[in-house]
Amino acid sequence: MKMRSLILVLLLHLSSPAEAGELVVVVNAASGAGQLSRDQVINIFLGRFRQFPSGLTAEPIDQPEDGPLRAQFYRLLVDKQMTEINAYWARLIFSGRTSPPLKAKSSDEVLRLLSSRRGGIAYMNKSEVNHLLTIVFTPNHDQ
Amino acid sequence: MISKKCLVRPRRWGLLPKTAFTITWMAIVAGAFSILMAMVLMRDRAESNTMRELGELLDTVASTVQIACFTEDEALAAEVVRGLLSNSAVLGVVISANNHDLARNYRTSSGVADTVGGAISAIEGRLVRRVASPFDPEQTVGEIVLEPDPAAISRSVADDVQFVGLLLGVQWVVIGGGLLVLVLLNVVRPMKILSDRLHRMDAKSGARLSPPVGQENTEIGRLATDINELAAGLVGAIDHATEQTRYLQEAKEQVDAQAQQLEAKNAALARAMQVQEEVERIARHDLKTPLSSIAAIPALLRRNWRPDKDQEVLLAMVENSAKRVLRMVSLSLDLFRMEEGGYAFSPKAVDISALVLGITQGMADEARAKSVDFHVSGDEPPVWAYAEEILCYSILANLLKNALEAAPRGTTVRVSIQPSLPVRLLIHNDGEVPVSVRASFFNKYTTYGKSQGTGLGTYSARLMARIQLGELTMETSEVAGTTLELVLLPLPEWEIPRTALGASLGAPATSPGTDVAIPALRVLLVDDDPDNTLIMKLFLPSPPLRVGTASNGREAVEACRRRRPDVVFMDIEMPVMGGFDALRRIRTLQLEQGVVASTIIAFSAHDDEASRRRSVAAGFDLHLGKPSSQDEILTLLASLGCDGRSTNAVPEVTVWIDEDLFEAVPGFLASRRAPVALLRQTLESGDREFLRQLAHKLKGSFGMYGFKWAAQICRELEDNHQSADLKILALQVDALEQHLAHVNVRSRAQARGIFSVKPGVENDVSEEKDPSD
Repeated sequence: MKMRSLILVLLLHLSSPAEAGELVVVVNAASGAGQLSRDQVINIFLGRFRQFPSGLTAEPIDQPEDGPLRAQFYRLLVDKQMTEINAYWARLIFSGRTSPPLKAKSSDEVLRLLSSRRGGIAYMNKSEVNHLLTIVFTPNHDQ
Repeated sequence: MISKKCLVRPRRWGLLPKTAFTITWMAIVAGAFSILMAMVLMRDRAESNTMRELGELLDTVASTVQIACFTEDEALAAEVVRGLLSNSAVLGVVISANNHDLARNYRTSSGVADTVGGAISAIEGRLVRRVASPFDPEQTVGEIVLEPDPAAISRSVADDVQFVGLLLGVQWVVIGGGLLVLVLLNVVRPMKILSDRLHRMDAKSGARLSPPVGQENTEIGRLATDINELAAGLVGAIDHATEQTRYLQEAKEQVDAQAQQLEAKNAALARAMQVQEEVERIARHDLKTPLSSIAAIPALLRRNWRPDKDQEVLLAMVENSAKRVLRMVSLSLDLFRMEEGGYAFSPKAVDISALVLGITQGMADEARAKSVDFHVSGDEPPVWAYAEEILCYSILANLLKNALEAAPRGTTVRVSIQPSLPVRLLIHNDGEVPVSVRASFFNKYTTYGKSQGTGLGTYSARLMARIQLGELTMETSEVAGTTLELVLLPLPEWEIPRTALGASLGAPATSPGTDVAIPALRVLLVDDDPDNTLIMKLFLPSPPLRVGTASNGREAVEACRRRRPDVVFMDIEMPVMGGFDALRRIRTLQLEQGVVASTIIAFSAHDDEASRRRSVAAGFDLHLGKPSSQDEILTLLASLGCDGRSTNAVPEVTVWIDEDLFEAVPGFLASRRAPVALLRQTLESGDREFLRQLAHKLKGSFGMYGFKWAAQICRELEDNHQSADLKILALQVDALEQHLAHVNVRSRAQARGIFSVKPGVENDVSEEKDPSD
């Protein structure tokens, strides 16, 4: 299983040079949040438990739908296709108890939203991380 | 009586209802069994089906439940629960995450009701499924418990059973319909065809039943064959019976025709017999008149002429022969009367032993010729019986003659007379009566070995024995020979004659003798037979009598017109005018003339009871039978008063007594002897007044018991006690004594039983009386 996933990821990497950069989960540096576990990231992004260990309410932000980052992120995080993630949210939205992450229209907007929110948390290529942001988690296939 | 049991008809089942009943019951049992089995089997199946369906249901909501549990979203869970409960098979649902319920709900009868409780978990058989995290199958985020609804299972079972039932019903309908069609086609239709053909079949003309097409080799075909055989047999039997009936009919017609012929012959024979008997009776009657003249002549001759010894023998021979022939004729007439039941038995003392001796002596020559001896044993004569001598003579002569003829040569005929009570007489000979005639020995016209025999001998002997209240029986065997036993009445003590002379044949018990005073009467003799008239004239002493004659009725009437006679002796059957006619005319004439009516006596050879009654009914004062002896006639005349009026001088031979009085009669008669004897003594003493008193008393008592003649005599004694000659009165007392001594007393019941006297006879006679009389 692991071997197969690895092969698949390798193939994807080969097919897309833009994804050659490492994907990381960042927060507003002002949040003061430390490193997060995978489960904590999953809880925040999939609406299960939206608090940082410090008690600060986390505000997840998704990359644009048509961008390659979003699919890559969820694949790495929970090994799901976007259609599955969308279906998941469709059912959750129906109950009205929780809501999906904010949807940025572009990478720039992700940065802007992050900077404007203390509890903001998003994912992006490592190359795009600036000093206002803190990397809290790096998803990879091995984890 | 009809029992209740018989009224209750036994319950009987036809084959069809029985079959239908059995099939229905079997179908019901099979159906019930099928449904039961279905219920048992379907329940398990329905349960597993339900569980499977619920599992599938859970599968469809699994991802949503995953999300709800993962995010602990109670609203989503509640939504899922509501959705699940919309399935009728789900009774309750619990969705829990991390040991706390996100949603719990169950269905009630009224619908879905939110509740929190432990009801669901208590129910066994619930469906529990672990809920994994949508992003990590290893991680359990919750649990869903689903409680299936048992009612749903039952409903499912019920649906299944309904389906099975429907299936069975359809099967039944299809199978039943098939069976019905099968039966209709293969049984009912052929049977109907067969029945129709049988109905139209004319078996007599030889038509036979053909089985329906296709049924030749089935039971129906066999039935047709059997019916054909039966029909053939029946037709044969009917033909046979018809033939038999025709034969019988023909035979019956023949028998009928023969019966008709026989009837005609019988009728002719009966007419012939009647005519023959009538002719015989007339012949006998016609014989009697001249015979009585012949018998009377020797006595008349002896009056004025003394014959020598030889002449006297000849005269006695004439007299005896005539008397014997006369007796035989009389006897044959009497036999006729005995058969008819009209014979009046007048018993007197009869010396049986003397009779037997006389008869055996008369047969001596014949016995000698046959080398047969007569041996008579018993008491010395007289041995008295209370009987009629002429009848006894006839019986004994007959029996002894038979015994003589039947006895083998050189043997002895033994006669044993026993003066016992009753008198018994045994006649034995060594011969044997053939077996073939023993049973009919006493029957009329039974004869054996006698070409000239009439077959009347034994028949008449027994008839005469019985008419004398006796009996005649016969015993015979090869060893013992033949014995005939005659039983007769013994003589009553008071009847034993003082002298044996009094019982001699033909002699009157007492003789009035010539010293009887004959009144000077004018007598008219009317008879067409001049011999009779002559004899009668010789009988009647003149003077004192003045006797006139007439040869027929008309002359008699003329004689009476000229001068009234005191007494008329009138023959009945005469030419020109008969006795009855003459009697009526004389009575009418004397009424017109205003003279005292003459005593008119019917004087006829017909001396049977019927003739006697007919005469009295016609108006005769008396009926006198021919022949009558001179003494009888003189006694009669002497008993008539000087005025010629009748004293009914001839007493009744038989007095008929009512059965309730009958037993008392012997005592009554015994008690009358003393007063009658006193009557005689009174006459001798000449006390006429006492005579009147006695006669008056006697008259009443005799009248009461029905002794009419005796009562009449006493009345005359009473009436004439002053005026009449004592001699006349004495004669009347004599007659009374004689009457009482000899009168034959019979019970009316006996008359009906033994003598077959028809109670209506007197009425019949009175109806014959001429209205002009």
